[in-house]
Amino acid sequence: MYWNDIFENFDFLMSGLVVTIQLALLAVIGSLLCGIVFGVLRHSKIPVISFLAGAYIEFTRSIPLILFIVFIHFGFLPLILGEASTFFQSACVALIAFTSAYVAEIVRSGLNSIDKGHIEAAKSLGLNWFDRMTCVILPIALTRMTPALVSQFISLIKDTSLASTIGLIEFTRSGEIIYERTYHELEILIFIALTYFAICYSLSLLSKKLESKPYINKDSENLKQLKELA
Amino acid sequence: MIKVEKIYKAYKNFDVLIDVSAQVEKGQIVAVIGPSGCGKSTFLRCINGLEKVSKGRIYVDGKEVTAPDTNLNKIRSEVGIVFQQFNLFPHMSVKENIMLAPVKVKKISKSDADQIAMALLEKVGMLDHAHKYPEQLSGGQAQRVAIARSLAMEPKIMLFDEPTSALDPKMTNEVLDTMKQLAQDGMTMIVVTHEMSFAREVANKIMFFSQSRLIEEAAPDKFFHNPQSEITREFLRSVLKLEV
Ligand SMILES: Nc1ncnc2c1ncn2[C@@H]1O[C@H](COP(=O)(O)OP(=O)(O)OP(=O)(O)O)[C@@H](O)[C@H]1O
Ligand SMILES: [Mg+2]
Repeated sequence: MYWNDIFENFDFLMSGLVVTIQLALLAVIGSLLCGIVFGVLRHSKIPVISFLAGAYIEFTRSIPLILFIVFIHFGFLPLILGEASTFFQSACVALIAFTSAYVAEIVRSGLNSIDKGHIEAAKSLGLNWFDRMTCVILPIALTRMTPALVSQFISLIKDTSLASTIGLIEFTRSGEIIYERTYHELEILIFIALTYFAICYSLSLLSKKLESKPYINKDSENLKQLKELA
Repeated sequence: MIKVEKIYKAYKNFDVLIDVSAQVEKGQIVAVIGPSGCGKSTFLRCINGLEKVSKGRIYVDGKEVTAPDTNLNKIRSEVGIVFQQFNLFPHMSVKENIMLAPVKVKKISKSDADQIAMALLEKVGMLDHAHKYPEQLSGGQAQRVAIARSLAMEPKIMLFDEPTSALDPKMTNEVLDTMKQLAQDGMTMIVVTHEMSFAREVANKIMFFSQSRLIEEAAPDKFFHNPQSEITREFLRSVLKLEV
């Protein structure tokens, strides 16, 4: 076995990993924000708005991500910016545009699940649309949506590897570059796979933790139990 | 204080309210009673604009709720409503539930809102529970918090839609006591209720609905002992087993 390949190229692999993490983080934040906006628009009672958001969501979900990345890098962004975009910029925009469609569907179903009574209570207190959304409806919906969102973001993290097709040297591509030279694919691939696993699995554990009893103030509960024990 | 002029409400081709007119004066306590499905909740919800009337006008404190250009949020901030299911916001503590509207709608500072919340929690006997979350409360406690949450906006009128129907007798009394207290403080209240003792003792006026119509309006004494309408008599005989 050639495990040494990993250590000899460790810095290079890590610089790839950093690119992957940066890309994933930006894309998670971007697609969460855009997805919430699209989801709220999709949920809107105004038919035109709901239809347009729906069209975007359905269209995006019917196209392979790799086409998206290529199209945005070679077609869309150069057209908008008037010059070539960097690999990183294109990958980021493509991942956000793509994932936000999925997030929007999750947000929409979360909004549909909200108890009508809570919305009416918020209305009755005189809260305007924006405050009802941001203070009451979205927070309740987002807590419910956490598991679905996390699993979407796990997909997103794995999808960042597709950015290598336009030339971005992220984690997977950095490994590829090494074994194209050494021809020892196995060790590098195992290392890369395990790293993705560690990241994605810890996220999934985190989501399980968030899922259980989201509202109860755990600190005060623990304090009470401690006092009873004492 | 509230003036309802010939309102109609229909869903598709089903009439829920037919030609209802009524008036409620400042400080009055009105009990709304009637068989299930007769339109009591709908009547209440039209007053704060949660439902739109099909026809007719409603005025609250001189402002027309039913006008197309009304700022409903403004009116709603002056008309409190308490629901059968409490509808506390599950992701906020008791105190945060109460502070939300004063901070967001009235734009008062967090520390002032905090003081208002604490004073109201004391009033409804829930001071010890300020930091709990709604799911940790009993039904009676949750309903008293819901009342405090409405009061935090200093409403001119409080509407109650069967506030005790989801509660057992002991919790019912906790909530009714809070409401009696409110009545003594001079609050204008419209209460949809099945609690006839509350209607008799606390209300100054009974409104009786049946089959989408306001059948009879009278002071409790007159209503229970000398009702004018045959429909009312029938209801009192069959539902309350009264000799009228
Ligand atoms: N959104 C709706 N669409 C269609 N019909 C409705 C709707 N809301 C209420 N109704 C109907 O309107 C009628 C009156 O309803 P409402 O809730 O006002 O009655 P209620 O007097 O409050 O009854 P209860 O004592 O059971 O609460 C009922 O027959 C109900 O089925
Ligand atoms: Mg009702």
